Amino acid sequence: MTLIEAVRAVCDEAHAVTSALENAASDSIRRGAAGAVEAVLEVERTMHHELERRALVFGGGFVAEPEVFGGELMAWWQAVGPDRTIRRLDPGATGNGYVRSYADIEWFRVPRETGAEHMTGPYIDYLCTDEATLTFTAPFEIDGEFQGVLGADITLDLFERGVGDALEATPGALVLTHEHRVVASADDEVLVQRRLPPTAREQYEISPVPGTALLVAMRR
Amino acid sequence: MELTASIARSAVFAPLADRGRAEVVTARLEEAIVLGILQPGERLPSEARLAERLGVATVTVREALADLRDRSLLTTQRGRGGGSFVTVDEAARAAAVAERIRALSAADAADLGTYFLAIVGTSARIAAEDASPSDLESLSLDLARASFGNEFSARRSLGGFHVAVVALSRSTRLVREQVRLQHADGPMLWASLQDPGEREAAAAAAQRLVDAIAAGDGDLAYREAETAVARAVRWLLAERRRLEAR
Repeated sequence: MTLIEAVRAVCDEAHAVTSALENAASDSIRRGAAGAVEAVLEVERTMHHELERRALVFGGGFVAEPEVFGGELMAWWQAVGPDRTIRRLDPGATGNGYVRSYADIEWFRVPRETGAEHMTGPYIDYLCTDEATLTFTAPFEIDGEFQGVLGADITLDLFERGVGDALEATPGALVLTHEHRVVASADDEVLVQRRLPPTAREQYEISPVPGTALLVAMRR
Repeated sequence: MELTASIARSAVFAPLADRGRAEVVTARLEEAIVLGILQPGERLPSEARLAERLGVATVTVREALADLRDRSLLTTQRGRGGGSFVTVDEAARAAAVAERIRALSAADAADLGTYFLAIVGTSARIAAEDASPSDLESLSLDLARASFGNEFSARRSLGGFHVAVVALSRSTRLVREQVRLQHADGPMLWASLQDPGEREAAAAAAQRLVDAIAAGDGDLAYREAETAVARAVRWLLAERRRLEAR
């Protein structure tokens, strides 16, 4: 598998979770606050199923638009620890009281504003994973009206594991975001999470990975 | 060399803090109540929920709540809509904060400032060198939504802002350490936020820090963090002297 194919395959794991959530929970989410209890149960069932079979996904679920659901609602499940114990996220406990609302956070705000899928990060996600993370979110809309986001988290550790073999087989290669932030690196001189300086970019042949928001950089 | 090694070795086997778990829970809640993180009239989560969140047994939480009740910091109401409520009044709370400031040593006040700067100053410098347009947008938005109107909202806003700056270092360890610092020492370090003039100054300093990060000026970003925390430490020292003179 080439590095480009490997990056695509890892991102597709997150996209598959979003699709599964959309298939399972659409009908109840569609009913807004009246369907909220059912939607949460369906998201829970789906996330158990997905997290058990997708070892590269850390967590995922549905996050509701507060204006539609009459308040904040995060139905988000995570596979925690080495044995991947599945549990529901308690945003109050992890945000440490410093996050006013998820509504302004990039993974919620951007899909709401653009109506398009979005990848956030790598960033330190102190609301959900408490780790360096990539968050993939897609808007869920009914007749053009935004209801919330469906999505999944892949931590950088899991991402590295996912692309590991293909990355090691490509000496000096990097995986970058559009902002040239390093997501994975086969070059010990280039640190993950930092941005590649403009002067260094000239040394690479940079290609987009189709179907993702990521780029692969090969040494010229 | 041998001496250093043996000191290091003995540190490994030094006794761990052995305060009772209930005492630790009591201290955590008492601190939060006295410093206004938990506000008068607020209902605490249920015993079971508290136990889960704090990672201790329910019986430990029960013991801690009983202790806080005995000291009139909490009351417990039974039945529907019942639970444990924070009852300390504003005068008692202010007196307790003053007592803590008076008990603070000058060395402690300086140390708080240095500790804070080691994390936030370093992070601000990295952020200035490394932040992307989307990072800057998120940080600016965070500050635009902040409210410095009263002591509680200002403390929460400033705390949230500082965690957001530290997150731009992209170090999980620094973020965890900053959160720990803010929970344990933040209310004391930023006691100055009880003063409206200091709240205004803190809001302006936060904006200057964002501007320095946006300008990509790492040295300036570090200095802005340094200036802001130095002001908070000076306020603490002056307040201590003022309370002492009374």
